[in-house]
Amino acid sequence: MLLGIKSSNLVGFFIGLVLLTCVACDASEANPEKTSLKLSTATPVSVETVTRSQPTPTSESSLPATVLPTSTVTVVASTTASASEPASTRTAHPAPTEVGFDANRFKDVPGIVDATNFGWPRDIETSEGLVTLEKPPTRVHSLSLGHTEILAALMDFSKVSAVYSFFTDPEQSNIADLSKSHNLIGFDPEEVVALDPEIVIASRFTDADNVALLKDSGIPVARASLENSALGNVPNIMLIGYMVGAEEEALLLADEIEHRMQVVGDILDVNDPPRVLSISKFTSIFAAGSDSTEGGIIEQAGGVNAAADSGIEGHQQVTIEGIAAINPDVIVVPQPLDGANVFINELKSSPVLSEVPALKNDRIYYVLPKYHTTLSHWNVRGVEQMAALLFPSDFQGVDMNDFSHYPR
Amino acid sequence: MLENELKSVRHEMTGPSVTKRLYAGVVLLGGATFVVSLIAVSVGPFSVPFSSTFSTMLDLVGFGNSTADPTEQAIIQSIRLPRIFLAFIVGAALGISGGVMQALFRNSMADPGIIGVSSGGGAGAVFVIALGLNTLSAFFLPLGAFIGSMIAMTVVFLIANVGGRFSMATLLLGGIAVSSFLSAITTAVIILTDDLTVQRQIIFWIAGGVDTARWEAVQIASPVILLGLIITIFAARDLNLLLVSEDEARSLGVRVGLVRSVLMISASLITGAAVAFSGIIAFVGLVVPHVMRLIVGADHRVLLPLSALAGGLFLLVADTAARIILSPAELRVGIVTAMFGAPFFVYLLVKNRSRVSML
Repeated sequence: MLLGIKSSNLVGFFIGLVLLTCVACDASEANPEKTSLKLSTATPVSVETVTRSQPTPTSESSLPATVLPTSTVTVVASTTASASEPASTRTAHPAPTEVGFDANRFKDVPGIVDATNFGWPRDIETSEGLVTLEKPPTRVHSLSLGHTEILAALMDFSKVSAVYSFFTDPEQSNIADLSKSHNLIGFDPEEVVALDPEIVIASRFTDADNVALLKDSGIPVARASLENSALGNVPNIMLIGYMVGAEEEALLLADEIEHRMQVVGDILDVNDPPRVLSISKFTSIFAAGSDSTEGGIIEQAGGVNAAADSGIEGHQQVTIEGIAAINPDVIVVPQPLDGANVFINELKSSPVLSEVPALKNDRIYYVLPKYHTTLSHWNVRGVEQMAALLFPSDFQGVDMNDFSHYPR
Repeated sequence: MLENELKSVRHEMTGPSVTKRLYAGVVLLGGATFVVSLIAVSVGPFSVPFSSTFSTMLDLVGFGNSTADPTEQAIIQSIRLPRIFLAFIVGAALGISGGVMQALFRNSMADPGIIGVSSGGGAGAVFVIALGLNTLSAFFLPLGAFIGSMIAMTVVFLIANVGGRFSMATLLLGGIAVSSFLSAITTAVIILTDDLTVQRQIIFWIAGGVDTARWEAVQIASPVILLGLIITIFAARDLNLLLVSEDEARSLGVRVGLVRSVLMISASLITGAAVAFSGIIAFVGLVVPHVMRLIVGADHRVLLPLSALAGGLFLLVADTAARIILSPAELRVGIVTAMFGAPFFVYLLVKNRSRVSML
């Protein structure tokens, strides 16, 4: 034992290092571009220079002009596999892998069986069991909008086998542009089976019967989590990145999320946070309370979720009288514009709400539902938009841009 | 069922005074409704002092001036009172039409929507929502639901009259067929639409409730429901005779076909008006007439008006509970009607086992 490291492991490490160096040399000779695996070339800039106007088609192919911390390029060599072991027993003895990113960040990601194995095949284990991916999948199917939005940031969208019709709604979906010209399917599991995906990503909302049908048909299914907060989704993004062989892109996206949240946090200097109520009307009125995406966005943007503050959990029905009782300083309406306008006019004309600060001070806003109701990194845009609405003077001149799709 | 009901009706018609039982029921249920209304207008997510509520109520009926501030007055006048009125008239409509349908079909499982009125209302509402008309005016949704109810009712009546010979069995089966067809259309629209907003609006409308009640809704629904209630109550004696024997009823001068059609159309009209403004609230129309039958007997001259009062009271209590249990959030009223009504109904069934076998 030397410093707690077994000598056999050290020997394995050095053998692996030598082998990897050879492999890397071969690879660099074959394709010099592949040797450059730096995470980011962006230099830290001020908040003002972070922002830019709406992305243009050409700008989408480049990295977003956000401040990304310069990450250390780490070469990780995993323990070497015994030569006598068959190649298929990769979980226990992964082949040595050289990676050009901080592999340690994958260490505690739930679902990754061996966080030292960045080669193929690789295993992931979710509540749907162990799935072995032999090679980077080229046909990935996601059963949720949030996961598909994440995939769109991590890999070429042509590898997403199909999308559902509501993904094309520009008010509800952040990938409407990509989905419009993509392969549309219905909700019949048979259609998913027909796509012959190498991996299907289910969410916590996916019906167990649908998953069972797919698994019975021989389709590998991984159930990845979908969290209500952008930062909470980072491990999920890492897992999906690992699943599809887009670790670098996952790290870039995670860095961008963390950085953008940091920027908002640095600007915010809140002494008296406003009480914000997020409500939508679909025949009846529903408020977003604690443990809701909208509530998380309000809190991360420096506000107090007024519904949660009044004891509402999740999404619950309220009435105009309930809104008066909650007495918010600000009201946001994250629902499609047509309905939102009618609803906002109804609220503004209600005599019951005339003394409510949000109405009295004309602080009632329509916000794009796609930033507030989806469960993906796009919630960060919701946080940024919300922070700018709540503290307009603090965020004056800070022009925050959308996330880019792959290639980032 | 039929033999038992006939025995029961014969017994009731020759039993203790109808007027006495009716008055006693009206006084009890009317008094309870008044008390519950006072409680309902005094409670809610927004705290309004009772003195403000009381003075505002007196002010509304022309005594004194309200001491409530403008917001409190607006809450009482624009939010709570229309909701209380709408809950009561919708409950009354469902209660009485359930009683009529159960009697006409001689079927204890019959409810107000048995001949497709509720499904028709649902389909009408779905079309309005799918076409986006509900965003243009608040009245297109109830109008569409009412038109849907009336179309469904007409189609079922036409089916029952095929060949010029009216058949109750065909009416019942036609109602079930039309209901299934319209429910399938509603489900298809929910599943096939790309628009998540449309999906949500339809689902929440179908779930039923009076949370969006306005005075205009009360003003439009009340005359239709009141007219239907009056017609139905006036036809209650003939309904009793019909239940004893159609031949006996004919020999006593009852125009059987006309009475049956009038009762059916009247019950459907009031159900349609209720569904238009409240969506589909299950349980009330099915259970309230049964409960009242267990308490006051099967004489429809007593049963129908008291089913109306009890239905109104029950929905009012359920809606008030729905408003305050999770305040400032609220429950769907259908959840409360089922959760509190069902155990109470089971209790009555067990307690009155001998009378249940008579019904």
